[in-house]
Amino acid sequence: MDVTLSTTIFLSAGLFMGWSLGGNDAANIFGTAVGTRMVRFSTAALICSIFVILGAVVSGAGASHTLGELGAINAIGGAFAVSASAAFTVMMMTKRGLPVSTSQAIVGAIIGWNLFGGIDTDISVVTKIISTWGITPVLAAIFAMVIYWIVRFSLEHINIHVVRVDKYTRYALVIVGAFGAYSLGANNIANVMGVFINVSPFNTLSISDTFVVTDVQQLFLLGGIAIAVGVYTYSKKVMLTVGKSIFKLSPISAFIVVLATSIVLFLFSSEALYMWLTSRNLPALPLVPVSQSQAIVGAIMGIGIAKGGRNINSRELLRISSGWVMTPILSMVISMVSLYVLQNVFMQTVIR
Amino acid sequence: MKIFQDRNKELEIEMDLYLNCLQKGVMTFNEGIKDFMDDNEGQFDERIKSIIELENDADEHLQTLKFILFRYNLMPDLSADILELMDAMDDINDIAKDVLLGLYVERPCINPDHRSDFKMIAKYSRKAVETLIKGVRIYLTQFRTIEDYVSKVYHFESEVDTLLYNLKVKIFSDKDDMNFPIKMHERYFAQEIAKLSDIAEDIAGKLAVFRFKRSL
Repeated sequence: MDVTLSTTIFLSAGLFMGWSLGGNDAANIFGTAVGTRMVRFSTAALICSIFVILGAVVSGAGASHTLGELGAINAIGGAFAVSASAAFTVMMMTKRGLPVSTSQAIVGAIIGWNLFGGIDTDISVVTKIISTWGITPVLAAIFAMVIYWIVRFSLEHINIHVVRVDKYTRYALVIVGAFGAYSLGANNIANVMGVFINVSPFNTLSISDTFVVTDVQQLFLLGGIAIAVGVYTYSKKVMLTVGKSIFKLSPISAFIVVLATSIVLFLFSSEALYMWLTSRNLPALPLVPVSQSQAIVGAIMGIGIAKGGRNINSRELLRISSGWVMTPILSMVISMVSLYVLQNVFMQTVIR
Repeated sequence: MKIFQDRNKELEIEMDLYLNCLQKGVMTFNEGIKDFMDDNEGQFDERIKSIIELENDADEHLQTLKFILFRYNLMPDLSADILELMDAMDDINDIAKDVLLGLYVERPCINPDHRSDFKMIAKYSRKAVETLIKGVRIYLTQFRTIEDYVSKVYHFESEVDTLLYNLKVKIFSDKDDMNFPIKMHERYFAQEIAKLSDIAEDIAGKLAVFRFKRSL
């Protein structure tokens, strides 16, 4: 292992990104459940942390690979600048109250690195990634509508006592919360640690012939732990805000939103599913880190449409969408500026 | 580690027991009115004892129900509606007990010609409350069909209003002013007996609104 003080400092940008993801995106998963006190924060935080780490370590490679195709950052200084720029953009947009995407921020920052280094950006990969920004909310809306209709039909036609519905909803919120955390870890670890893959300071650990922990998995474990720390230290306040003010959802609607979001994130990160579909010549979704915020907005819209579409606030939707356009552009510009500063002021290698 | 404080079953049972107490209460009320009108004093006294016990039991179940609901934060999105509903229904046994105790203490002199009308008012009031209780049970399980019960409660309440009006006309049709205090006393109890259906109507109105919150 080659972990020095400088690599620790450089990795800190990724860890900050992970912490921020744990504080904000994890809150989206359990926000309503905790905000309405359907699930205790301690339970939510524990489940969230375990499953985020599991998702990151077990299934995090697929989406990270696509980010690598976009720009194989080959110097840890460059990775630091890219990661820090994305994190800074997310922070700025969050301050403006926009549900911003870490995926878009990191993509913008990587393109910034390509431009700064004069490296050609693979347009097909960019197209693939940008197409997912449109597909994600649409897919989440479709899933949310279908799940909404199934749940509504079940509640109206199966005579379940309201008290038992409450009990099942609590179980369902915990189960989809775990699935959501797993999907978040699998898909969004690429945003946290993806840019450090080519400059990983870790070496592969072979505990036995069958149990090998690769350097990338160690990196993802570190990122997963950063997310878990974010969950424990920062998400409670965000969960209470999400649960009580921003998205005023009933516990059952929250279940639908989280499930639809989690399915979308899972589809964009499951290598096994991708292989299964492509081996049968079926169309598969690309393995790309997608935005959980976009998926959530899409899922909430889906419920709104399923209810008749009367409560959709088009102006607010436009404001949120403008954030989605601004994020990658802003992140790209900040990335180029910070790479310039790091290279010319702090004399660090940002590209080899 | 126990993830959930599973009090749901307990709450479901308490709700059921509470509604059972109200159901028995309104039946006892109806039988009590019949016994009073038929001068079955021994049985009427038994009805008084029963209604007091049922009212106490209902109060206990309501307290337990409230405690479980709030202490364990069950059904956070519906708890306020359910509590409002259950609290409002508590008036049913209170009124039933007050009317029977009133009859026991004040012993109003009911004109024998009017007794069947009193029994009819009590019967339709009972029907209104029983339909309401069924509606509440349906609200808790199969809420789509609530409207049927709500409209039936309105129907029974309107029947009671008609019966009450006709009885009042009968009471005051006799021009003998000497019996005026007796007439007023009769009218008072007729109105008190009819009150049950008014309460049922009020709660049915709430139920019709709560039904929309129950749907997704």
